[in-house]
Amino acid sequence: MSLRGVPFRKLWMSAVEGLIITIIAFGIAIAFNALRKNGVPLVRKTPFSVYTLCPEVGTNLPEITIDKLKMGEKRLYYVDSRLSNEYCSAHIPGSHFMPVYPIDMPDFKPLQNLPEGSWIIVYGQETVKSDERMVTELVKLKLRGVYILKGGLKAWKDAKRPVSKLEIKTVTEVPTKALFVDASAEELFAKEHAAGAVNIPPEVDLPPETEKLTQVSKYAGVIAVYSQGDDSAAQKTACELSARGIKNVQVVTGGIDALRKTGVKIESGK
Amino acid sequence: MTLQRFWNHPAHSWVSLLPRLITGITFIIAAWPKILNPDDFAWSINMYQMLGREYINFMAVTLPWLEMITGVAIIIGFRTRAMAFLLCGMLVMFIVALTYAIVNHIEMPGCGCFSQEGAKAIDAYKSEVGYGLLIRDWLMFFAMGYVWLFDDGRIGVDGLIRRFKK
Repeated sequence: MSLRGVPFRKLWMSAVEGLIITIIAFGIAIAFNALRKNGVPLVRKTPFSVYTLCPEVGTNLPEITIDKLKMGEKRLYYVDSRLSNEYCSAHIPGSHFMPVYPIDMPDFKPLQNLPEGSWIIVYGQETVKSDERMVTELVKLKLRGVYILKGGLKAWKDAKRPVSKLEIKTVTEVPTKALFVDASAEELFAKEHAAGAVNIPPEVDLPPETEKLTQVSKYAGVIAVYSQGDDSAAQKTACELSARGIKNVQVVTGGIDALRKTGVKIESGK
Repeated sequence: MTLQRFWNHPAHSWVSLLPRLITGITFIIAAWPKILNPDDFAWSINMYQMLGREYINFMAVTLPWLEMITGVAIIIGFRTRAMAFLLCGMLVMFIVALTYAIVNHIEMPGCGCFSQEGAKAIDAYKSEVGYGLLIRDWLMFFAMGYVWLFDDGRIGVDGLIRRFKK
């Protein structure tokens, strides 16, 4: 069969046109990415955080209902397994902040060192089952008296039990003597930050680095948290620090510009 | 009917109109969220485990725009053959990626971690969603192959330009 009549030239030209259109599309894409606020770097240097989630959640985990829990009972040790923003907005008074991150478990030593006969009541975040994940781990450690609070904080509130929240102090005036914590992303921190500042951006997958937490917790004075851009990152980091029991945490509004205006020395990166 | 007459028959443009519309709309719908959230799309590409992480962002930034431009152009009939050729190329890429994911049992929809029957959910995904997507891509590939070979752009902007030039 003869192939005369097949428009080879047109087909070939369409392929060439396709190549030109691809180059134009790539140009538009790169320009748009460069101009937009949340553009991504074209060459990715950091690895993707690989979720090894799929946590083991045991079956028949021990549960306890609220009616069995007497208010003021000293043997009860409440553990909040949710993340800091949830803990700050509401938690059972006296509960201990032990967040279960998607890819990280808290240190269980404080629970292992509790006096004999203590009851550990864990409540958590329903959708990610942080309570079940934590209790599964605690059961593996052969800890006794560990229970999931049935219905979590919602059931607690429904039973008209008291709840506490963490108030984070917000200041407009930059403290003259303080340890500055920069809650901005690492790249922004690398560009510029207050001299001597510690970089603790809010995380949802992993806890803040232990060394940085230790450095902040050892500081006796005011801990001033700021962020570059809006103050929401500073709020989150301040909440994380406060939930971990660090005192004198304040959010400085106005970000790094406020610091600059007050005469705080700003260090610029490379 | 000679091959030339068959190839240039005006009916081809009408036959290819519906596939052009369906494929174009599919690509626009697919491209829009990716343009808005390149980071999420980068993560999706990463899940296929086919591309080095250095190149993932570049692909996440550029591919959605190519999808959007070709999607719009194939609908309005601008450079129809070239667009069909590009769509065929992208569909080959998607087919290879999906086949790779299915053959290597790459878990795609999330792990089904919190479902008691997580493993079953993944199997269901592979047989229902995975193969469904593959079949859809093959169908669009053949449709765009047809458009590339036979649609000379009578219906759409190409046709209008040609008439205007005359």
